[in-house]
Amino acid sequence: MSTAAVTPAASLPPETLVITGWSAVSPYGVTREAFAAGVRGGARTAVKADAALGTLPSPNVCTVPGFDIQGLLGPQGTAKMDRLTALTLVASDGLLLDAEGNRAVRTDEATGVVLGISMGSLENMTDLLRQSYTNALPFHVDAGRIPFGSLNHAAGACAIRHDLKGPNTTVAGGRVSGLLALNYARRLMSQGRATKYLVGSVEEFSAIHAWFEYTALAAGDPSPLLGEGCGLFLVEHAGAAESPALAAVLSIQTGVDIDDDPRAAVTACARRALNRAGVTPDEVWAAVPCAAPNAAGRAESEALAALLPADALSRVPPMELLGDTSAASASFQIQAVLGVAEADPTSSGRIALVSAVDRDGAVACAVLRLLGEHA
Amino acid sequence: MTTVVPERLTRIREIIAENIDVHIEFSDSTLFIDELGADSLKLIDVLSALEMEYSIVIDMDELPKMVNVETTYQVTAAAAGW
Repeated sequence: MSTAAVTPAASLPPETLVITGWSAVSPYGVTREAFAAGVRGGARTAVKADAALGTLPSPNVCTVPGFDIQGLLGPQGTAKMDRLTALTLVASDGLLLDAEGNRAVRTDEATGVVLGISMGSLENMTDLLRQSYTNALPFHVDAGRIPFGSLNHAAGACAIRHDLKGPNTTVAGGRVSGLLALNYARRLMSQGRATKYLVGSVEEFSAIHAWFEYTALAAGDPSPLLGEGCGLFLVEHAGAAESPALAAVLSIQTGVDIDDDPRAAVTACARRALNRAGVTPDEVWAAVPCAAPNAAGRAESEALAALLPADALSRVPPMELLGDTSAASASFQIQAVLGVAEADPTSSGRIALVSAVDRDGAVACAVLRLLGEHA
Repeated sequence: MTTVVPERLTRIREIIAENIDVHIEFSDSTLFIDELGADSLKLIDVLSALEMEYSIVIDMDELPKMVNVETTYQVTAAAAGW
């Protein structure tokens, strides 16, 4: 039996940011339960790509199984909807609605939405560009799809769908965007701009995305196995939380690798995050790197292995199982920890660290205290 | 009055239904805004889709005339020189 101090959610300072709910639309399926079971089982998600996607640089993909936009969201307003928006809306339904489609989570006039993305819906944007270049006249484009091309569309559509009138923001930061979004929500809530937040990140798979990633490969890197999905959280202040807290966000630190030394940048960022959280590296119970399939991702894993206890890094199955989910990955990493923790009674009160690093040099780390209660 | 070509009318009806996002039966005289709940943005989508389909240019001043399938066909036919 562990001797780690267990901090009940009730004893947290009232302004502590806590995660009180989450939903995942992932390569494991469209529900949180499918994600948690998939992660705990360590199941692979790669499948042979649908022929309808056309020629791809890699034969396998980690797409969300059975993701039929109109089947999941109905025919109204979905005919021209991009996949990125649809993934977000299905995830938001999973977070706020019960199985019968009724509202299960109370929101108010100051409930915000912040969503992390990488480049939005590349497919939608490139399709419009292609139409403009190849059709008879440059303005002969599918005008109905233009609104979906705006970077903030998914976050806006989510707010409209659920009548959320608080701050509405999109943070474009690649693999670190999930942590940037969480930090954004933390900051605005601490300033009294919002009472609770839907926060998360999203990535869509498309053939054009696969080719973009392929052309950005460094020599020697494997051809990318791309994933997709959307991970969303409900975050509140501990003192005002209306649902039991699953984890407290103790700290989020960000940085930029300006010396072209991602290992040092991740180490420094993780140390700062742990210091800010008031915990030591050997207290970390679970750590999840983003596992980007490139030099930055390898350096990230090395940095965490050198800094943290070995069993912390093996507690949660590796994120490679989901493919490279890019902007969605940081949210999925936190959810993987929560999914493992909810099945492990020894997790309560323990510390988790999630890190992310992008090939462009952005680095971020979050330190959480797991608070899930077990019967 | 332009002679209506049935195949073109069918295709124009499809374009209208897709762009106004209609999932119910409607006639050639059903009003887009009053009866199908369309708004001006949806009507621009229709105009734009018709331009793309037939490689034509429809003057924006014609938009107020496009109130139902019948008048939309006439506006399209005039722009296309059918």
